[in-house]
Amino acid sequence: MDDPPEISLDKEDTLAEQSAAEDRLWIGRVRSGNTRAFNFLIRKYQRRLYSVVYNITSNKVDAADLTQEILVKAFKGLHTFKGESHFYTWLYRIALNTTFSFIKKSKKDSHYSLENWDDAEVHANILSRSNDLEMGDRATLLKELQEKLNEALQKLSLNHRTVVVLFEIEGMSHTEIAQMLHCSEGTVRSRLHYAKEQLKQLLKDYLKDYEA
Amino acid sequence: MKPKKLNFSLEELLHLKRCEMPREEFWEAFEKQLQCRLALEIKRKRSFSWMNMLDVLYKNWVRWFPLATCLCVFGFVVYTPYFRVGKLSSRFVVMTEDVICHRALKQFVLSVDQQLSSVPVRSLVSGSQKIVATDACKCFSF
Repeated sequence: MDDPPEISLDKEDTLAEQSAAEDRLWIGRVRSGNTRAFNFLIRKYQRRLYSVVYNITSNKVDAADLTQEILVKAFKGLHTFKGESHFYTWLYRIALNTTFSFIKKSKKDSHYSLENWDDAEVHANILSRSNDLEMGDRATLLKELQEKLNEALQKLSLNHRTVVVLFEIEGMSHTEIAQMLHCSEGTVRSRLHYAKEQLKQLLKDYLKDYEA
Repeated sequence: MKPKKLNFSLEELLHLKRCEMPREEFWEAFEKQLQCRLALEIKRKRSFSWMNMLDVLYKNWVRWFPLATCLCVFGFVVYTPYFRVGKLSSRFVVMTEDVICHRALKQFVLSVDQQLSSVPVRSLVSGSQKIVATDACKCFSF
């Protein structure tokens, strides 16, 4: 199968601008009283928000509940959105603040509740690289890998975990992350570096060519 | 048992986290539940009650309390009789004896430092009519 065509930076910017313009349009409709217009924004962002919250909490039940809470908060506070930043930056800020305060409140009784891996994608990524394993071994390996990965992420501090999730999993830029976390790009880079070093140490048994 | 090493970098391993997503059925239930919460929120927004009002006032007391205090102090200073003493002489109403009704009132303003006697009250009304100067509370005869 051919690789997907690469999108140039200019085109990416144009797409981002189009998306932001679309958001502004729907926000305007919600503000003018058409509450159903908010459904468009829900459908556009719910999965991404869920993913961020889930990867920070490693708990699918909490993630679902928090994602709903975030969207309700966004709906309630939509009149306070001034349009100085992108809508999604504003939304992610709400998401991070809500998740952080939830984690701080429920620190003592936190536990994992992991999502299922999307089999097709995992097959394409992992299993193709471990052909020498039996099917049963592969399933065990996957389960183990998922647990170790989440466990390692949870061992990071909240700030470090957030940066790793936003950069490596959600694919955001340093600038966007800095805006969301109200810190400098340098801080984001340094947190990311430190977090990755910690993760490498924690997952060294599973990674290729890693020497502490 | 030592786990089997995979041919992965850390970044590739972290990208696998993107595969941890709920199935489609989850999203249907999720949206239904969310719609219920939003509907409740809309209903709550539309219904006015004193409890809501008190709740809003309580939550935003930092904003309105200083303003309300300033307004109270201002009102006290302006309208309390004690503070009005200084202004009593500044404003008089002059009228003729035969036209007592309010429609016929003629008035002029004295500055604070002017004495009542120094004002040419008579020149304001014609003839030899008796002149009465008054403010809202008191009457002065000349």
